[in-house]
Amino acid sequence: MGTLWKIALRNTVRHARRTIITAVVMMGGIAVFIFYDSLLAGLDRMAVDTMESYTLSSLKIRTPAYVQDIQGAPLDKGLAHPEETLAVVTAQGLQATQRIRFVARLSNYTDEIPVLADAVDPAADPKVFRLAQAVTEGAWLSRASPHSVVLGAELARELSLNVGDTVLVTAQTVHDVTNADEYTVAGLLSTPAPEVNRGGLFMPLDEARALLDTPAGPGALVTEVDVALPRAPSLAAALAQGEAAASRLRAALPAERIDPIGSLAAGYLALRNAKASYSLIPVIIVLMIAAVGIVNTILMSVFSRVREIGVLRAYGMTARDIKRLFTLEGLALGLAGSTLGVALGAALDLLLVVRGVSMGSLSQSLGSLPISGVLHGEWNPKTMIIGFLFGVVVSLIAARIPARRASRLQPTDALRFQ
Amino acid sequence: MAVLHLEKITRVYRKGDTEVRALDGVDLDIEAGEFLTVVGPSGSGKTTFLNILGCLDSPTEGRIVYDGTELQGLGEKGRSAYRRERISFVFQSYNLIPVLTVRENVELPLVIERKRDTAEIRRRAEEMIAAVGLAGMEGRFPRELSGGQEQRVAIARALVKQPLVILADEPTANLDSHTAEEIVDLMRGINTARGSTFVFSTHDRLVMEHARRVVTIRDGRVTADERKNPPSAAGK
Repeated sequence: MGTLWKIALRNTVRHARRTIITAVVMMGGIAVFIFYDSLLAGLDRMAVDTMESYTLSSLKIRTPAYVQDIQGAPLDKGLAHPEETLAVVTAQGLQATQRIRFVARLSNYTDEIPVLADAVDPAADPKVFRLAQAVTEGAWLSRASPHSVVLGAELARELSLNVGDTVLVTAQTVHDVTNADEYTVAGLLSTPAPEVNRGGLFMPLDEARALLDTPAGPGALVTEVDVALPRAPSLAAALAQGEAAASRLRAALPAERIDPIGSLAAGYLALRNAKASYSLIPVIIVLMIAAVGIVNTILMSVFSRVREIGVLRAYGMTARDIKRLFTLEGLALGLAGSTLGVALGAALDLLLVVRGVSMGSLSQSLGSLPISGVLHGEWNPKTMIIGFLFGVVVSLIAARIPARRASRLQPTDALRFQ
Repeated sequence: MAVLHLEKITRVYRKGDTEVRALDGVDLDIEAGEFLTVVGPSGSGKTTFLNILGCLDSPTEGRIVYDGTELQGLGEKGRSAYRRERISFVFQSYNLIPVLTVRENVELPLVIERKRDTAEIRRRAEEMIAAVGLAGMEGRFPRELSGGQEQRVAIARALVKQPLVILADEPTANLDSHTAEEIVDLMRGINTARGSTFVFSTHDRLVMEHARRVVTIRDGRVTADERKNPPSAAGK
């Protein structure tokens, strides 16, 4: 085997040009695979981060009945003991906030747009969500500015509203009676989450309770408690962390429905999984090109060494040994290409992880995907191992075709070959 | 005692509808230690004869016995084992493996044989390289050698596993007359010193002069079998 390796390796070095060309194609395929995977993982992470920070939170606590009827945002299915629920969460060292989600209509007295409004605790909400930091005009909600709302910037633009303008908010009360009140626009939000920009309406909990005709004070209406979890190093870790926290909270709050981000963003994650399989297609195409290169390189090697094959057969090498010899050449090519590919892919990946790429203009073209800012890749050694092994396996499979051809050469024909 | 016994060896090739009888009922006994040349015009069947002796090809008909072992009817594995263990070749174009050094080329048959440890393989290879007069060139690659030196390496490679029979297909055809004479002397010396059996095909008069036995093949048949006594070395 040692001599077979020696012959195989020295032949790959001897025919350096075709070895380099094949290895470079393979390197490109694997590097693209690693970089692409990191980019997609980064995009996913960014999308999930955005959902956690602006719309969903890391974990939601609601009643099972509320979740069952979630399309209607039912006000009669709020948490039975919101204060105790909050206390259980904070006792675990987690940040949490209470919210009421309700259906409303926003009017500038000329036009009216239906929205899903969120009543928030102005002081606690920024500990879970990043909406307060996303106010681009005016200010976030506070006790200092009563009777005010914060709107998504695009929603405000749609109704030609500016900070300081008065709006009319109409909603069904808990008694199923229509109620309306006037509010001042305190601030406008511009977030990476398109649905917040297009339909976000936020008002303080007390203001909302008055509008919905439900009493304030202890035990007051809360439809959900939103929880923030520390940022995990990767999306997989974030999903695992969410599931672990949900398990702990389920034990402490058996009557409530606890949904971590993995469940809340299930639709997006399912789409991501489908997308991930499609994303492999270009990489597979590149590796197939590399495989054709390997077949070609080893075929050239076979044709340039027909007499050598004859000599080896004359000295008693079996057809199987000959097949092994050329398979080893393919393996050597595969190892070289895969190693270079992983090295280049890791270098590009590192650049993406450390420096990131600005998504400024790209985020607009991505439409409704919650992505903007600087995208950082995700360092994934598993992808590198898969890329490496895939390259080696593709090489071995590709090498089999010319190797079989070489092994079928009759010694007499091979020795006669000019 | 005959180391190789051939009985009515026939080899027929088909080229489309045409039947070519490359060998046609060859009977021959080759004794151990012989220095035998097979001569004849191009296409007479010399190479086919050597290929059949070397188990590179199988006869269509006939019986061939090597040192008591019947060779006809051996499968691919058996023929490989025979070539690996019992016979060696020297080729017209030397056919050294270009990516292996002189020592590695000479070691190759022993490595393929897989019967000896690395130290012994190396020792025997170096001994053979010295025997063919190339001591000190062990680390060179074939491209760094002259034609004569390459053929010496090929001879060392053929002899390293100490086979009973060495088959050489026109071993001096690519060499100038001076180098060819050196190579023939070398093989003759080995034949005398070690008792190895050499079977050549050749057109080279020099080789014929050195041979102790000259077998002439025409149209696939043995037409003459001339033994020289005393050995041709004396006439040099």
